[in-house]
Amino acid sequence: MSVIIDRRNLGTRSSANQDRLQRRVRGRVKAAVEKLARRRSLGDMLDTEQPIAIPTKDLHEPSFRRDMRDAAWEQVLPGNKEFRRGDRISKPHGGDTGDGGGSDGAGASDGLGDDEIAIVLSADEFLSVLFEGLELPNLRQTRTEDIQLDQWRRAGFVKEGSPSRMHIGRTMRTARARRMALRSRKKGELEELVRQAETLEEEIRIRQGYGEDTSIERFRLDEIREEIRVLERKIKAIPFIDESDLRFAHIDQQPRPVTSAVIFCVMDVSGSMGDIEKDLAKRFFLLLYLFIHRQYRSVDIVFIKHHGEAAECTEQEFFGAKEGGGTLVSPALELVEEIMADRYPAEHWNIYLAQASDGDNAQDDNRLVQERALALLPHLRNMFYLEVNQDQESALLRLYKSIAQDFPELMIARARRTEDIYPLFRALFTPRAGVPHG
Amino acid sequence: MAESDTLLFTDNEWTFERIAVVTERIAEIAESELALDTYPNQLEVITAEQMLDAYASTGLPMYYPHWSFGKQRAIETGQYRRGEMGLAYELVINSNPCISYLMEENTMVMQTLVIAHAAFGHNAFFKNNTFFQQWTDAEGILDYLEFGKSYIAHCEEQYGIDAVSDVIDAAHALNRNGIDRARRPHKLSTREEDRQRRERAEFIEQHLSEIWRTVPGAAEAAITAQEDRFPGEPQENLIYFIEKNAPTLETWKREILRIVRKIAQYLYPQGQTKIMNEGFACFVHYHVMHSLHARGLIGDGALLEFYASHTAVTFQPDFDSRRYSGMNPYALGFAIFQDIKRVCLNPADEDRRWFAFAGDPDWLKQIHFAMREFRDESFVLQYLSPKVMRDLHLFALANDPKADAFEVTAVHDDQGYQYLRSALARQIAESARSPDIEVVAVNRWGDRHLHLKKMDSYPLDQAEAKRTLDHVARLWGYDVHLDAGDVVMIARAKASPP
Repeated sequence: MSVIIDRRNLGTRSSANQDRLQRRVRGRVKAAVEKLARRRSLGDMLDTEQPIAIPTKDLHEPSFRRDMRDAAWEQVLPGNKEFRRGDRISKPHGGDTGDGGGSDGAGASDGLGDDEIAIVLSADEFLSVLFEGLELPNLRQTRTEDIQLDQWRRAGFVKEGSPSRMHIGRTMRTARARRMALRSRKKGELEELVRQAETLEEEIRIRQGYGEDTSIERFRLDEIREEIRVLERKIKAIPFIDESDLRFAHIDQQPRPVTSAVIFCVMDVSGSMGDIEKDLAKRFFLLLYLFIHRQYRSVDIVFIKHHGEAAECTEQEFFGAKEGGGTLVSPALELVEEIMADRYPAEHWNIYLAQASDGDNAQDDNRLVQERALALLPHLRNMFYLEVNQDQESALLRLYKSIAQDFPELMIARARRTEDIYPLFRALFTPRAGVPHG
Repeated sequence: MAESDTLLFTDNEWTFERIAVVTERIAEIAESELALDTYPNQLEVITAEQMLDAYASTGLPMYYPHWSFGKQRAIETGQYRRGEMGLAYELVINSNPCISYLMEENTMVMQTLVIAHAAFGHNAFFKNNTFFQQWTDAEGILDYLEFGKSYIAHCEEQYGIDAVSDVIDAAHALNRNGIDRARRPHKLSTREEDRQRRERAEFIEQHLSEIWRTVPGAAEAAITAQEDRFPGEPQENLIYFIEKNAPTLETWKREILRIVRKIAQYLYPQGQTKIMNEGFACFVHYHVMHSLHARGLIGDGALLEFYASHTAVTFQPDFDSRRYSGMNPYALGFAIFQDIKRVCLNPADEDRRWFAFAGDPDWLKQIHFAMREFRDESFVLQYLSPKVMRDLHLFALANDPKADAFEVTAVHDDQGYQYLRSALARQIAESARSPDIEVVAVNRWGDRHLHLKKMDSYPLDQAEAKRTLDHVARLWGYDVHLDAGDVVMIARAKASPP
C-alpha cells in the first residue's frame, strides 16, 4: 500500500518565492548592495554569496491580534518548584510583563526573536542589482557597422581560384577518385587479357610437347600481348593530377560582431599617489571591469603604470608599486598606442581606456597629452579619466574637459573618498542623466 | 546480537529497499497491534533544502508563490544555518494518499521513526479524527492546490505580479478571520471548482447589483437603511463576506480571496488538534519502535538512538528555563495518550475517581475513542489527569494589570487539579483563535463603508489592527470602521476604485 518516491532530484521550489521576496524589498536590496559596493572590496564580494540583511518590519504581515500586555490573563505553566496557591510574584520592572501575554499563541510564533532576515544574492544577482539601470555610454555603438567586423571566413571549395588558395588535400582526393574511376575498367580488361595470354602459353607448351603445330596460337598470343601493351600504356597515361582535379578553398566575407574587449588601465604611480589614491583607482577600475565584462564575452586588461616613463606591468605591480619621480602622462598614452597597434587592433577589439591620476602632470607635457589623446580617441569606445584626491581641478583635467567637448566618449570624474566611487560610477553610466562633462 | 539474522538493518544507512521492508513491517504492527486505519502512504525522500521549502509553505506540496513564503524560508534557513533550529524530521500532508517526507540526511533509525510517526500515526489521525473528517477533504486537496496555483499564475501573467501580491497580502492579513467555524465546508474538486468559477462570476455580478441598487433619494435612504439592515446577522468570516459583497472588487481578486480562504479552511483543524495529533503520532511511534525491538527487527543500538530523539522531541522545559517557549504539544499530547493507556491497564485509586474508563482492559478502544472524538481543548478537559499534571508540575498564574504582583491561582495538588485542567483547556482554546471580529453592517445607501465590530472582550493590538484594516479597506474599496470596544478605528479607502 505504500509508495516510495525519490524527490531529491526535483530541486528546490523556493525560487519563485525568493524572486517575489526580492521584488518586495528591491529598494532595500539596492540600497544594501550600493552600501556594500561603497565600503568593501568588490573582489571579496564576488567570491561569496552576499547575505543582505532586511529588517523584518519591512516584511511585516499584519493581522488582527490581541494585545495582552495590559490585560488580565491567566496561564498554565510547567515546572513548578516551590509555588503554592496564593503565592504572589512581583512583576518585573519596566511595566512590560514580558511574554506574559503568551495566552495568545500568535505572538509567540511571530516573536522569533530576530528582527532581521538575510536575503542571499549570488554574485550574478549582486552584479545585476549593482548595475541595474546603468548603460555603457557606448557612443559609437549607434553605428552598427562598428561593432561588426567583416571577416573572411571559409565557405566551401571551388574549382577555380588563385594557386595560393589551392587546397592540396581536396585536390589530391579528387585526383585519386578520378584515377580510380578511370583505371578500374582498364585494369579489369588487362587482367582478363593477361589470363588469356597465360592460357595460350600453357596450350602452346602442351602442343609443343605433343609436337603439334602452334602457329595459330602464337599469332593469337602476339595479338594479345600487343593489346596488353596498349592497355598498359593507356593506364600509365591516366594523369596523376588533371586540371579538373584542382580544388581551391573558397572564402567569403561575412560580418561578425566583435565580442571581446580590452581595458587599458593607466595609473600614475609617482610619489604623490599614496595608498588611498590607489585604492580609489582600484575600486574604479574593478567596477569598470565588472561592468564592461557584462557586455562582452571576454575582457582583457592591460595595466600600465607610469611616472616619468611608462611600463606595462602585472596587477600586483600595478597596485603595489610605489615609485617616485616626476610625472609625465604622454609616455603612458604612447605606450597604449603601441600595445594597441601590436596586440589589440581597433577593428578587432572594443577598446576602453581608464586613467587614474592626481593630475599632477609636468606643465609642458600636457600639449603632448593632447596630441596623443586626440590620436587615440577615435579608436576607443570610451576613455575615462578619474582624478583622485585633489582640491582643485588640475591642468590635466581642464585639458581633458576641453577635449571632451568634441569627444563625448571621454568621461571625467573626480573622487576623494572610497564612498565616492560607486556614486560617481552610477552617475557616469546612468543614461541621459548627469554625465559630468564640464 | 544473537538474533542479528532477524534484524532489518544493522548499519544505519538507509536504502530504498530497507525503507520498503521497514514500512511493510510497521504496517503489519500498526494493523495487528494498534488497529490503525490509514490512507495509503506515499513516502517521498527529499533533501534538507526541500524540507526548508516545505516548511515555508506550511508543508503543502504546492502553493502559489508569495513573498511571505520566501520570508519564512529566509528566517528558517537562517535559524537552521545558525544551528538554532533542527529540522523537524517529519512533515506529513493530510491528503489521500497521505504524503510523508523523509529527509535524506536521516539515519535508517530516524527514517523508521518518521515512518511510524508520520505515515502511520498522523495518517491515522487525519483519516479518523472527526474534526478532520468533517472539515478537510483529503481527497481533493492536492487537486485544489494545483488549481489555486495555476489560477494565481494566470492572474500574475494577466495583471502583474505586484497586483496579485497586493491581493494575497490582504487575504493573508485576514486569514485567521476567514474561517467558517460553525459550518462544514464543501468538498474541494478542481473540475467542480473550475465550472463553478464561471457561474460565480456571473452570479456575483447579479447579486452585487441587488445589494448595490441605484441610490434612491437621500431622505428615503435614511429610512431604507434602518429597515433593511445588511447583513441580517453579524458575519464572522470576513474574507467570505468581502469576497461576496465588496462593491467594486474585480472578479479575479474575489477568486484569489476564495483560494486563500479555502486553503486556510483546510489548515484550520491542524491548529485545533496540535496536541492530540502530535501526541497520538508519538504514541504510535513509541509503540511501534518497541514492538520492532521486541520482535528482534531492530537492535539495541537502534532503540537507544530512537530514545535520544524521542526524549528530545517530548521534552518539556520548565517555565523558568531558557529553553521554555510555551507548552510543548508533543510532550503534553504524548503524556496524555500514554496516560490513557496506563489508566486502563494500571489504574490507581485516584484514577478510578477521575475516569470512568479506568481499568478498562481494552485500552486500544479507549485510545481510538480519544483520538477520534476530540480536539485539543476538549481532549485536555477530558483526559488531563492529576498524574500528568504532577509529572509536568503544572501551575496557574494570573495577571491583574492593576496589581503589582502575579498570583499563583492553582498548583498540582488536590485543590488545584480541576482548576488547572479547565484553565489549560481555556488557554488552548483561546490561543487557537484570533480576535473575534465580525461584519455588523454595511452602509448601503451612503458612503458604502463597512462596519466591523470586535465581539470578544480581549484588548486588540491597535497598531496591528490599523494595518490590517488598511488591507480590508483596499479590498472593500470604501472606508472601513472597526468598533474595537473602547475605540473606533477607521481606515480610508485610499484610491477610489474605477
